[in-house]
Amino acid sequence: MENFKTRRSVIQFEDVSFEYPGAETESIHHIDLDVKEGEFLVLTGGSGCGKTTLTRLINGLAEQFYEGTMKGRITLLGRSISEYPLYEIGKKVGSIFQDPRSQFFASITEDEIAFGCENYGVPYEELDGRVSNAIKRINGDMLRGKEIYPMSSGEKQKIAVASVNAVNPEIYVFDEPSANLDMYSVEALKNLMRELKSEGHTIIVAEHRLYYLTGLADRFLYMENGSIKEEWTPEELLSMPEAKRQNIGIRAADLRHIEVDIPSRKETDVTLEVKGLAFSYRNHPVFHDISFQAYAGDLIAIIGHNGIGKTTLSNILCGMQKEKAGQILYNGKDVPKGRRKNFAYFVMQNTDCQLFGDSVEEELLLNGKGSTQEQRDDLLKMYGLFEWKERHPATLSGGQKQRLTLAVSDWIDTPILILDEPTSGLDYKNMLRISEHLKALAQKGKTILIITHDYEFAAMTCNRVLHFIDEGHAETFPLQGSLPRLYSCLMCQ
Amino acid sequence: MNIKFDFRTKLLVIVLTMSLVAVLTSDILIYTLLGVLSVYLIIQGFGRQTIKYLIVCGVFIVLRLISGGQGITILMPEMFLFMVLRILMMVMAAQPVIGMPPGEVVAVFKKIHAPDGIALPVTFMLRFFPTVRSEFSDVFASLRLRKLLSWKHPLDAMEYIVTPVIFRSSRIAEELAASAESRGISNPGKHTCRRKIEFQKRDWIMCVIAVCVTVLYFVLERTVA
Repeated sequence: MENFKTRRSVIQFEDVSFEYPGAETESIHHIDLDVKEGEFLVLTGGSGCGKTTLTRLINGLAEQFYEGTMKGRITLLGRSISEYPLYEIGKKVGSIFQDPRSQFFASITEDEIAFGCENYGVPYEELDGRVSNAIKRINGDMLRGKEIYPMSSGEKQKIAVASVNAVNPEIYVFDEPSANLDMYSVEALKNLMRELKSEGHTIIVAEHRLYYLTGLADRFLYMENGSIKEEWTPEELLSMPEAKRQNIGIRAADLRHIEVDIPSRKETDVTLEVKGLAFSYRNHPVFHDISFQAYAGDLIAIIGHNGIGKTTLSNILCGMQKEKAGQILYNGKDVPKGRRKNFAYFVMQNTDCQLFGDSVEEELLLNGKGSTQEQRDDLLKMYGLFEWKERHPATLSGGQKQRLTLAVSDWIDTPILILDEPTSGLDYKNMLRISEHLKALAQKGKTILIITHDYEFAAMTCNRVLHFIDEGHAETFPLQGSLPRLYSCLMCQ
Repeated sequence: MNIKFDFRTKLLVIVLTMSLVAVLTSDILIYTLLGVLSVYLIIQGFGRQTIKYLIVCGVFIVLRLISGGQGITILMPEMFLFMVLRILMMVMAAQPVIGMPPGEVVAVFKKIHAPDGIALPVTFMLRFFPTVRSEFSDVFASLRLRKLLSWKHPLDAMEYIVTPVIFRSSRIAEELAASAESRGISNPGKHTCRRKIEFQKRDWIMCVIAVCVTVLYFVLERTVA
């Protein structure tokens, strides 16, 4: 553990409060913080605790882009942050945002990596060298000249880091960088962060998932309702009693010590049978000869690396795409593509694109015209959405939108439910809420398939695993007694 | 064929196309302009996209011929058919600009001293549309799963499509702008580009051809009218 006390301060917060325009309350209040040169700081806490706002105050976006009201004083590298124009802060503080889809400007990797340098007028002769160095540092030679759009989330995150890296800022700010990454990519991100730290950069990460940061961070700050409530060293975090961790609602710091209660299942009714399924895009095979069975009450984690065909399988199961070969049997009957919607419903990862109503209640009404007021209210109460029933779905938080899409799926009530990364960007309490609810649905006899990279969630929720090994092979195994196997499957590419 | 033109040349073609589309009333002139734009796209290597544009334009031309100036039902009034064809032509003119490296766009705007009020929105727009495109496919997939996409209720279906796309678009636009601002897009100083920005001989030739074609069309329009 390094002693940072003698080092110079790079970021100082003195009694800082901040309010977004039009907000009823302050997002953060009375924050005092001193970040030293070369320090690695993690901000954690439940959704809406103010950690993203804190990162936006450091990179200047809160005050100068979102145009909120700040009280107190922030000093960045010895000068008040208000004295810097936003473009000047960008040279000193590099930002990597949560959603890789909406932070890229170019379609080709090198153009994207060069973008920041071009904006700061780096001479033409220097540009290619900077881009090459940034690519080397992310071990990204295979990404040269590639289109960014079809890349995996992990590759996109690498490009985002390289783009910031090329400008060579002193400070790096990451906002939930692991939210869209599989565990293998998280490991690569961890190595990148380690390298940045060893080069002396100051790093601030706002994050729910903490397990990959315990070997890197110098301090963890726990935030609640816009204030810093506690501060821990990695050792203190790792030795925190499980009851306290769950009570304050942060995710596991050590994946080896997760409390699991693997749900049991009655091996009676086969609800879904997939036989020799094959699919290809044009002439490019995605998978072939995939077979498995699912029973009523099953909670199956679908795992495998990006692009192996997990989402495609889900699309085929609910009739959104047509298989090239094979059979899909629901309750023993071969069901054609057009009728599969009646048996399986798919909750996609992108919740914003699945909500169409003018209010939370109307969202349910769209698929439940014959429902009673009482039924709708009960469902909303069960998902903790009742008090927001008049709100427009677009104004809900990420966790609330996720729960609303699940409430809709309850309403549609197909015997098979498929979910794509339901815990992406969720805090512990919301993850637990979803886990408990899915288990309750399975208890009632629903078959649930969950595409996930989230070990903690899969271990807490599922009873079986469907592992896509490669395009021709998939295996299933029970989770009881096989948690190390699940972990190693998630960690290998 | 894959001729690369400078961003300024492409901008000139867009501006000239917009002015022609706004002024031309003769169907024959519009259809021949479609041919000219197709050649412009093909020489820049957009053959496949050109075929797609021509197919869509062809459908609307046929619909216009069938409608005989009366429109087709309440859903496709004559004005709609008239407008769609012209909008498609503007999109064709803008095709070579979509997907251009942002650094090149910003550097050219700085070089020609374009005001930030024009340069920054155009730069955002170029990235925004490809980003939003994938959102549409997710919206359609979800609507189909929830059985809300119906030809029997086209106005409802339209509302269901537009609502999430608008909200998602505004969020993407905000995130893109935040990302660009934090990467120095508003730097008032010199911007550079890793690709050489040169107005070459072929650009001069293209600009002269574009201006001549535009003048010719204006003259023909007056003659026809």
